[in-house]
Amino acid sequence: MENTNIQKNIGEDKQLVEQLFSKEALGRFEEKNSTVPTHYFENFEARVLNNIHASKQPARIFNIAKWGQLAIAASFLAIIVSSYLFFQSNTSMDQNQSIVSLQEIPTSEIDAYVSTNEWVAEIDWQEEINIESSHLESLNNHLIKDSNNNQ
Amino acid sequence: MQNDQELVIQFQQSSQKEAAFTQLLKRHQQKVYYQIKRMVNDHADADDVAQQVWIKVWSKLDGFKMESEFSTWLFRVAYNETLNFIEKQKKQSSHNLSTEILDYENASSGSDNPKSTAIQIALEQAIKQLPEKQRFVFMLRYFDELSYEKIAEITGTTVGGAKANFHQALKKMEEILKKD
Repeated sequence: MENTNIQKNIGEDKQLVEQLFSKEALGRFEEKNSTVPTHYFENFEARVLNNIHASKQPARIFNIAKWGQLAIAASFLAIIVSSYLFFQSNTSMDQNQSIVSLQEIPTSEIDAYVSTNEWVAEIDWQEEINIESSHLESLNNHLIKDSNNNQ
Repeated sequence: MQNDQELVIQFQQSSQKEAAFTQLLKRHQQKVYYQIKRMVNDHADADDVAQQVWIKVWSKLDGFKMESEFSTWLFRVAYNETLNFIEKQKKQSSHNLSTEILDYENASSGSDNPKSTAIQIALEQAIKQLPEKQRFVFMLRYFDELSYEKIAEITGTTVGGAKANFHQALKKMEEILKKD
């Protein structure tokens, strides 16, 4: 019943179109659009499948089996863990060594080192002061001499 | 012989995917092609769009939930691909509407179309001047004899919208005829 109604409605709509244009013209329009090159539809399927396969070509670099992928992941993990352990142990060894060496140095040696460096520092400063004073003194003498000459 | 739904299930279950797809293609390729050809007018263009449609069907069929008939979904894919193509053509082409109409006239009245009549040329001109959606609805209703429900599903409108599009198309073609 519903289908009959639909068909009836389609028939009515088609009549409206055919009042504007002749059935012949509409038929020719459809005929023109239905014309395809020979064997077009027979070859179409193969061409579509070729395009699908071409677009499906995966960008594969390696074809690695599941166990191979796991092995690669495990090796990377092993490298990361061993590097971490190596750097950790090196850092703590350095710290221990510096503590031991400081403890092993006798106090007398440390005192001698400090006092020697203090003495070097004092000498250096004294020399600097002396050089600067002699410069100032000669400059002063020079100025006095000049003023006497002018007078 | 398997129906469309069974073939879609076969495709989605990945057993003999290609065999199922090929059967669907063989069954519907002509209707899809003609639907496109009426819109784009040129065989080479229609062939390009038709191929795009079937490539899209291959890639999207796994996600098809069978909420509508396969053929409705397929026509919808074809409808969208055709509209996309026409939009691209419009952007690329420097041809304006009048040149296209002139091409139509030349093609229709040329020596390779001895059967051409004035009324046929007028029909082609009138169809060409319709907005794409109205043109599509007109073709689906008159040539494919589809119900408004199905046309609405294909074009993504309501049944009322599809009816309105068809009658607006008629009105517009009548106006074009009167002008000429």
